[in-house]
Amino acid sequence: MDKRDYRELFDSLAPRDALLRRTEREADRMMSRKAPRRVVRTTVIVILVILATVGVALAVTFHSRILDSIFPKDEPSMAALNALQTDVASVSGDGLTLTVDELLMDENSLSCTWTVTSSRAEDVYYLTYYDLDDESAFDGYGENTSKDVGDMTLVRLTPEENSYSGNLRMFYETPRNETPRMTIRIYAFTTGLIPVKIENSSGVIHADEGDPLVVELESKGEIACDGERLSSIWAYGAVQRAYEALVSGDADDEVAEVGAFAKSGLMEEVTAISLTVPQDSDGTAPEAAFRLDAPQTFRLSDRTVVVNQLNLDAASTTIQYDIYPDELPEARNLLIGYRYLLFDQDGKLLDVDHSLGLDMSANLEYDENAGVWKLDEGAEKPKLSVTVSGNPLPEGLTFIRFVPTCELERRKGESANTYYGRMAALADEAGTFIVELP
Amino acid sequence: MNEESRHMGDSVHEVISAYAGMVYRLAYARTGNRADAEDVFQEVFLKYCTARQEFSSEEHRKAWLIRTTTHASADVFRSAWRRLVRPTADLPERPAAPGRSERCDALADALCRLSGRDRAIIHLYYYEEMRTEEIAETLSMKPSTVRSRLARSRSKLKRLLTPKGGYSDGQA
Repeated sequence: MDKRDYRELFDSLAPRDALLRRTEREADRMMSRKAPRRVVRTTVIVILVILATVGVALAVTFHSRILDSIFPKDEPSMAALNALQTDVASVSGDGLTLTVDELLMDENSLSCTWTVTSSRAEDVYYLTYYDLDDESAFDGYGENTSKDVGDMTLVRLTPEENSYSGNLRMFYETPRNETPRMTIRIYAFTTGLIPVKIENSSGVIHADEGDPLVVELESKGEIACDGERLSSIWAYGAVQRAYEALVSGDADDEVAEVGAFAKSGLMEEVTAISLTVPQDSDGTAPEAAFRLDAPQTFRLSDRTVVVNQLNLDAASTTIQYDIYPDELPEARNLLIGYRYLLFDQDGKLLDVDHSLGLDMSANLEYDENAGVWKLDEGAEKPKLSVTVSGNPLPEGLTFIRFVPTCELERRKGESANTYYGRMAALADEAGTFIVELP
Repeated sequence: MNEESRHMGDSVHEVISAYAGMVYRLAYARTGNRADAEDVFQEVFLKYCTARQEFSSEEHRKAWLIRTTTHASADVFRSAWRRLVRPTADLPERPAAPGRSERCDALADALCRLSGRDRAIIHLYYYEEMRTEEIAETLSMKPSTVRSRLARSRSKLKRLLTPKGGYSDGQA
């Protein structure tokens, strides 16, 4: 990244004069010990809900790590089974083998698992990097994802425990028409440092340079490892100095991180291998099981909803709809009432949520004293754009019923199905709508 | 040294005037949207008024404002109505800036992909030109954590800026 671009970008940002004046007025009022009136202005809010999913083991004969994570409660669909590629590709070099075990792609997502195996006689440590050819791909913003690519830690392989697996699941902002390609790179090192197992490793793995324990380890020529075979010498002075030198010289980030170990004098790079998948791309992504041909509009009791996108894919679901409320939302929590529960034709709750984005395009002011939203004078009617992306829906759906959420306290120990079932029972029929799936 | 770092008296208006840009830009970088940045902006300076803290130096005052801005920004994320939500950041909202380069637009889009905390670190490093040790001290983080998050963010930005779109690093 060019620092000049960053400065150019943020130089253009400045507080509005009105905000400055308002703040000065509030400050004056505060200094004279009068109670301040806090003003909250909202122009555009984009929010994302990450809903954690709890996985349970699949009771199927065929075991797949990807399918386990995508279908935590049910058996995998035939579409997913058909789209799943196994033993995808492999590459070896200097006693290290990188194998892409599984790959599952559809128009909206890419899931991949891989394994690094060492046949070397000594311990070997490696860093993992990956690239996708679609810059819109996002990984759940780094939280509550199944991503495990080493994440700046060195993975340690020993002759006894000589393999380690990584995984990744990415979503695209817009459906892919072409098959995506993914490249994984592995940089492996050896070291003369002696690994020392630290039971409570968090203080060491993330320790500062100069931390007494790190200093002690350095002076003894030892390196800390935790119980999960992950190890880090990022806190070691020689590595940090080498890294700083490379970064300040505007080295490529990957080069800087990898180079820091090599230039530290503590590690020796033994090999770098990479693999791009899929190797025999036919140029098109697997087709969606269902895709809405054209937007569908639903006029409801207090709003108009336009469903623009409804993609049911082998490994993912994407739904995008816009809401035009007749009245401004009453609750401070904008999600209440604008997020929908999905039910199938048998009244069964469909669990799709992985992430949910809400884009509120309106000039709103929230009056905390009155507890209401106020629309700016002359402003257009608000529109809320909601995007849901997540796990695939089961096959055999004939329609999806959208039921708005409401404020309802969850009972202690109440299951999700029961809780959302009660919520659905409370919903006004005039506030729900159905999308038919031919 | 930034012009905002000059010494000043204790007049609140002077402080607001001097640090308005710094606080607003950091709040924007951290929260990712103008509305929250304005909210945080007010919050910070109102806290400044109520705290009535003595500052030993201008650097001390600046550090206090940066820390309070990052904390207030985090509070936006922790507020009740957002307990389970997380801004994806609407930096694409991109306030009008005629003539701004496509590279900057691409950068704004890429920044949206970072977490708010990582954007704040990137901002303090690239815009405020603070050293990683200073960032760590100001944000009460370990220097190694700042360095690793900085490296990870740079790596992610590079990945996002390089593949298509014709962006390349200007300084290699």
